[in-house]
Amino acid sequence: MAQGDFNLENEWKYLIYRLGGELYGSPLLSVKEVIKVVKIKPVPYTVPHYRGIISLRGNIIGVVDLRIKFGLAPQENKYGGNVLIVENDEMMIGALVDDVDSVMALNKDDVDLNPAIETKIDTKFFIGIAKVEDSLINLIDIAGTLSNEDLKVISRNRGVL
Amino acid sequence: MVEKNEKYDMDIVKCFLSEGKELVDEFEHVLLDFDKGQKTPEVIGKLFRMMHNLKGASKTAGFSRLTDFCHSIENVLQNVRNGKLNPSKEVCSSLFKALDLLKAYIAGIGVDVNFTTDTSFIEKELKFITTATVMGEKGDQKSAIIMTMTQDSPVTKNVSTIESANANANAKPKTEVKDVVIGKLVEAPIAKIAVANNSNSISSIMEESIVEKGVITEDQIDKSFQIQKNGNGNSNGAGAGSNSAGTGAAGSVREEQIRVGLWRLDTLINFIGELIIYHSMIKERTSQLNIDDSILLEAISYMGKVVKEIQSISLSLRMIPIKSVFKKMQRTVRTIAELQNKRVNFITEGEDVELDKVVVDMIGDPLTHLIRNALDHGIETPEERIKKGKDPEATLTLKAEHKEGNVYITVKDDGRGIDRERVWNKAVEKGLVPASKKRDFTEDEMLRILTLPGFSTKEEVSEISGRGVGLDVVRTTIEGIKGNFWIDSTIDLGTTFYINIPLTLSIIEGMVISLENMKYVVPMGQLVETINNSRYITVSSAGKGRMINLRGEVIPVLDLAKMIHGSRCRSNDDGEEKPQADFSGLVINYGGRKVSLEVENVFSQQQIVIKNLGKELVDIPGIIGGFILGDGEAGLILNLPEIVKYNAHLIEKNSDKVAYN
Repeated sequence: MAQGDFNLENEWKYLIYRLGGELYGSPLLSVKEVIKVVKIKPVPYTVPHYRGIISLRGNIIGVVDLRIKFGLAPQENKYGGNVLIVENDEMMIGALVDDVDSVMALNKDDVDLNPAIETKIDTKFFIGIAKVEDSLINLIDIAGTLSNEDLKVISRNRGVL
Repeated sequence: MVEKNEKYDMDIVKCFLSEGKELVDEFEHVLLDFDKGQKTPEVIGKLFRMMHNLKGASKTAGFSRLTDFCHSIENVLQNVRNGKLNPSKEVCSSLFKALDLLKAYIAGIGVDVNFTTDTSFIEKELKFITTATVMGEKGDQKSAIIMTMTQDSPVTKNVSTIESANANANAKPKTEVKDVVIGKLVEAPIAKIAVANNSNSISSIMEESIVEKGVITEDQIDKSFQIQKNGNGNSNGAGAGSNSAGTGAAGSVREEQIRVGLWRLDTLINFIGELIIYHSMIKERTSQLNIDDSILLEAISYMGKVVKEIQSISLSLRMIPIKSVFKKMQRTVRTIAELQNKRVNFITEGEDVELDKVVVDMIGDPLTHLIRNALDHGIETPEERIKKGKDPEATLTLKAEHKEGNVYITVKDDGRGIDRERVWNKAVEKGLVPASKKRDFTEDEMLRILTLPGFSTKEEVSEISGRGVGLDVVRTTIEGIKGNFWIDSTIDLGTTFYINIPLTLSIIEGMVISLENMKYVVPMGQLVETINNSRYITVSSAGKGRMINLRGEVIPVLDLAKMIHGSRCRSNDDGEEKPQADFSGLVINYGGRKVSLEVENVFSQQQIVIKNLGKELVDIPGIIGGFILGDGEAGLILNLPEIVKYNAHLIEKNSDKVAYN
C-alpha cells in the first residue's frame, strides 16, 4: 500500500493510539512495530519535537514526539508511553505516543474525509476523522508526516531540553 | 553479470574474470615500475609470466581471441626479455595501450561472455614494434603506419557488436559497464582523428584518450565486480575459493589469500560490534546484581579479552594499503606529463599506510583531481621553469602518513603557486564573494575560495582540469568521509594540498563522559588532557567568565552541558563565583588556545563502534555519530571544536577575561 493512499472501497486496518487524551489512528501497515519507551537520548540543536535517539537491536533510531509535533501539550511523564517504529522510503523513525489502544478495521461509512476542524497537522497527511461508537479518531498518514521536511530543519535555538 | 552459455563453463569464466582482473592490475603496477626505470630481468620476467598466466587462463576459459591478443603482448615482452627489443618509452606506451584494451576486454566479458572487441589496431602496433625495432627500422616510419592503421580501425563495428550484445542480454541491471565500454569505443575514433591531424603526438593523444576512459572504466569494473560478488552469495564464495586455489596452482609466489565479499565482512563486523555490546551488558548486569560466582566472573572476564581480540582483528580486516591508489596516480602523472610536455619527477611516500577500504575507494577520485590540478595549473613547462631558474624537471610528491590517529595525505608540487589576487578577482567577477569584503579574508581563506562551487581560474577549459567543478568536489568528497581538506601555496615555490582523514569510519578511540546523567563519547584525538575530580582552584574573575588554573596556565571554563543541552543547565548564567572542589573537565585546543569544558564525569577511554545516525540528523552540528553503550543505551559522539564554535559567543566572552588576566 502506498503511504496515504486511502482507498475507501476497501476496508483498512488502523492502529489506534492515544495522544493527550485524544484518539489517533494510522494505517497499520506503516507501523513496523511498537516498543516500550526506553531512555531517549536528546540530540542538541534539533527541532523541539525531535525527542532524541534510542537504540533498537544495535541500530540507532530517532524519535519524534507526536504530541509536540501535533501541537499538544508535552507528555508529563518523560519515559511513559510507546514508540511506534515507522518505516517509509526514506528512513526508519520512531513516533512517541502516550499509549497504544487497539487495531481497528475502518470502512467508508466510518470516516469523514473533510471534517471542519482546525488542526496543526499538515492537511496533506491528515486522512480524516473516524467516528466509532462515541469517540472520534484522527486518522493520520504517519509515514508521510514523519518523512516531512521539517525533520531536517536544524533548530537554531540552542538546546532542546 | 555472466549469462548462461553453452560454449563456456560459467564457473571457469567466473574464475577467469576475477583472476584476470587481478593479473591485469598487478601487471599495470609492475609495468609502471618498469616504465620508471626498473628494467631488470626480474621485472621483465615477472611481466612475461603474468601475461603468460593470463593467456593460459583465458585459453582455459575458452576466449580464443583474447588468448591471441595476450599472445601478441607476450611476444613483445618475450623480445624485451631476449634483449632483441629495447624497452623504450614508446614500447611502454604501446604496452599501456594494450593493457587498457585488455582491461576493457575483460570488463566486456564480465558483462557478456560473447563479448569481443577489435584488438587489431593495437595488435598491429605491437607486432610492428616487435618487428620494426628488431629489424632496426626508424621511428618516423612507425608513426606513419600507426596513422594509416588507426584510420581504418573498425570502431563502428565494435560499437554495433556491443550494442547487439546489449540487446541480447537479458534485462539485467548491469548495463553500467556496457555503457562505459561503448563510451570508450565511441571515444576512440575521436582520438584517431586527432592522430591523423597531428602526427607528432600520436601516442600521447591516443593514450590519453584511452587512459581517460580507462580510468573510468577501471572504477566501473571494480564496481561491477563488487556487485557481482554481492549479488552472487554462496555460489560466488565457492568460486572465489577455487579461484585462489587456481592462482596458487598457477605458480605465482604469494601469500595464501582468500577473497571475501565486502558485505560478508561488514556483516561480520556489525555482529562483532553487537557482541561487544552484549558482553558489556552481561558484565554490567552481573555487577549490578552483585553476583559473586568466581567461575562466572572469570568466564566473563576471559570472554572480554577474546571479544576485544576479535574486534581488533575484525577491524583490521577492512584495512587495505593505499598503494593501489598511489599506483593509479603514477599512471595519471605519466600520461598527463607526456601530453603537456612537462617533465615531472613523481615521488610517492607511505604507500604502505593502511586505510579503511571504503576510504581508499573514495580517495581515488579526489587525489586524481589534485594530481591533475597540480600538473595542469601548478607545474610549468620546462622552458618556463628554466627561465625562472628552477630545475626543468618538476617534483610532485604524493605522501601518506599516520599522525595522531589520522592519516595525512599531501600532494605537493614545486610549481608556480597560487596567486591569491587572481583568485580573489576571479571570485568577485563570478559573484562568489562580495568585492567589499576583501579585508575580512585571511590568506588561507582566500585559498579556500578555490573550493567554492563553480570556481575555476583557468581561462581556457582544458582537457585535464579546469571544468570549474574541481576543488569543491574534492572538498565535499573528503568531508564526506569525515576528513579535512586545505590548501597552502607560495608563489613560485609551489602548492600543497592537504587531506586529513580518519583511519577508519567504523571505530574511534573515545572517552566516555557524562553530562546531566547522560553518557556521551568524545574522540580522544580532540583532547589535550582530561581533568578528573581534581582539586583545581577555580580562579573566578569578576563578571561572567570562569577560569581554572591549570599548572599555572589560566584557561577559560565552558559548561559543556549548557552548550549542548541549552537552557536546562545546572550552572547559572550569572556566573556567580562557584568554588568547585570536584572539577571534571576536558581540555581541548580551540583556535590555537586551550579551553576547558566542564563535564559531570569523565569515565574511561575505550574503543567505540560508530553507529550511523538517521538521515534527519546529517546536518546537525557538533555530532560525529552515535554509539550504543553496554547497557543498550544510545548515545552521541560529540565533535567538541564544532560545539565550541557553535557557541562561540561564550568563549569570546571568556577570552576577554583571559586577556584581562
